[in-house]
Amino acid sequence: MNTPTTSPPRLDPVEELEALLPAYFQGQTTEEETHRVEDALRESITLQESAEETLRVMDMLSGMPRHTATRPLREAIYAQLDAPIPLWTRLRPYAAAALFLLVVGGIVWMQTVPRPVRQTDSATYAARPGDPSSEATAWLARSQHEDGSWDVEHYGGRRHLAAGVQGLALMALLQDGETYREGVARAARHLQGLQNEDGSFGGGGTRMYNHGIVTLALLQARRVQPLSERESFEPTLTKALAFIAQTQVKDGGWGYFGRDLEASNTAVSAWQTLALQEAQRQGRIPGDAPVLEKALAFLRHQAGDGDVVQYGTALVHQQTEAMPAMTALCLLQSADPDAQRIGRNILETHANRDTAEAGRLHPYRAWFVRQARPETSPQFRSAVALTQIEHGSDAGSIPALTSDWGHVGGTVYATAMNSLAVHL
Amino acid sequence: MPDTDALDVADMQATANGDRAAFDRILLRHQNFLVNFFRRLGACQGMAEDLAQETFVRLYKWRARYQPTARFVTFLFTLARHAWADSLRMRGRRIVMATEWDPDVHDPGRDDSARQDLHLDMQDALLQLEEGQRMVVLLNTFEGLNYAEIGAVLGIPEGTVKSRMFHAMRKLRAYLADKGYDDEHANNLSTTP
Repeated sequence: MNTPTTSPPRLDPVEELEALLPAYFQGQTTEEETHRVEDALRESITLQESAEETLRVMDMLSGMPRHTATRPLREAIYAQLDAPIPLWTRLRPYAAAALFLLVVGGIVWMQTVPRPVRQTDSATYAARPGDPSSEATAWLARSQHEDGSWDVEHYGGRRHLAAGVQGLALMALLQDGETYREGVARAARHLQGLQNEDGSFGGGGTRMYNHGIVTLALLQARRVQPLSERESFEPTLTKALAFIAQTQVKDGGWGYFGRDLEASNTAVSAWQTLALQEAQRQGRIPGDAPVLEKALAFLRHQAGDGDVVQYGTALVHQQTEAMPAMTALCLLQSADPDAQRIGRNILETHANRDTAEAGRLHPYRAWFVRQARPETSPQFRSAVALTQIEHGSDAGSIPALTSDWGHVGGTVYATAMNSLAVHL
Repeated sequence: MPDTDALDVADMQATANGDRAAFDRILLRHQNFLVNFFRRLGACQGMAEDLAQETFVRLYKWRARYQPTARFVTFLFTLARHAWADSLRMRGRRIVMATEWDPDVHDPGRDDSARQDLHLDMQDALLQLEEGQRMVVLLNTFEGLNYAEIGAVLGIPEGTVKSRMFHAMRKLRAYLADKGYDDEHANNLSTTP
């Protein structure tokens, strides 16, 4: 079995010695190699510097924390080993032969019988060239203003959602952070400038939506900056995270407005929880921070055992399409095995719903599902590619009304969200 | 300290004779190493556990044919590599990278922001490597396999292992330097006294 690696170029004599350094430090060199390395180290300052750097990297690597299993593997292994061989497995060779004959027959038929042209079948989708995610991100980069902002309103979005939509656009650029390094830095600076005195982002009835998304985007953006640049994020992020903690409602969730005594809802709470979890990953808050524990307890309560995830306000009580996926993602990211179990249950129950149906895309839900599970639905990807503008200055963008919530988020939202949802 | 390899070999032979308790002991000794291996290769937690499970299932099926010609972990990680390659093939190489979300990089007692940054940057740095280079670094650094053993696991000559290690180290050094990890940072964050 081949590992997908190109064969390394041959090393010159100096590189040969450098290549021995890791083995030398681990005592794995032969006596002859050890002498060669030690002789060269005495004479070559360059090799000494290389040795120091190599040792430092090895030290950093060995200091990385070890991951462990979070569920008992033993039972699952024996269940797999002791399961009876399914009928399908026994019939598989016959099925393969039948399929082969069918394919050969189909090819012969296609070559001899004239076919009517079909407008929109999966083959048409698959034939579209390019990567829809990168094309969408390229449009976002082209439509970004010099000051790092996006004109959300110009592209059909509502003003009160502008901060959150730009946060999503920043997250889309971050998918290819090396290419858009400069655009990422400008967007991050612009978003930091939008922070209100109290630490929040955005205002009005969707303040907490904006706030959770922008905080998450800035936390992610901070991570890709060089160490020297990260300091500039500190005041903004400290205030933003404090605002999340201050506005947590008694039940552990968050409402739309970020006020005490407000009814919590699952969607707003999920965004704050994702921001807190990212902050926890970056060591900004401890894993057992009460604000995070209460948030997860709220989401667990909303999820029950995973069958139905409640939206959870007095005004809006129905389950929206994205709700289970948002909740599942937060629970799967928690360190609590029971919460993870519920997260998996939710995914199993809800994640297979169509994310593209009858010309309508559900990128918001698709993104959460993709974050929680590694696969991107090929059908969804094809549907996104099909709706993408192909030519002209808006090439790569995705028209607002093709996507859920596009009527309020506009083209910047639809393009960013779909780019995030289909990024591989 | 008992010789782990001797224990593994004895337990594999006992497993071949139908002793599942012996297989349980192998599982307990190695399951976390495998989960960590797959996580560092880039799998998310759920997938890493699934792949560890798959590796143990394959190990069990091999129990009667197992010959202790090399250290047991060499055999185990060969199976792990095959499980990983099969999984990539089945998923069309769409593996969720651990940095996308990584809930359990907990390091209690060392959870300061700078150290957590370092761990995340190290994981990012590992993911910049070509897969063959990453495998070499992981097997050497985390699993303690020597170059000859890594060569056996990956099916490549020892010289290629050395070469991959060299290029991997260069890339890691360049990536970390680009991020701004200079001597001072490294010394402050050093894991050894």
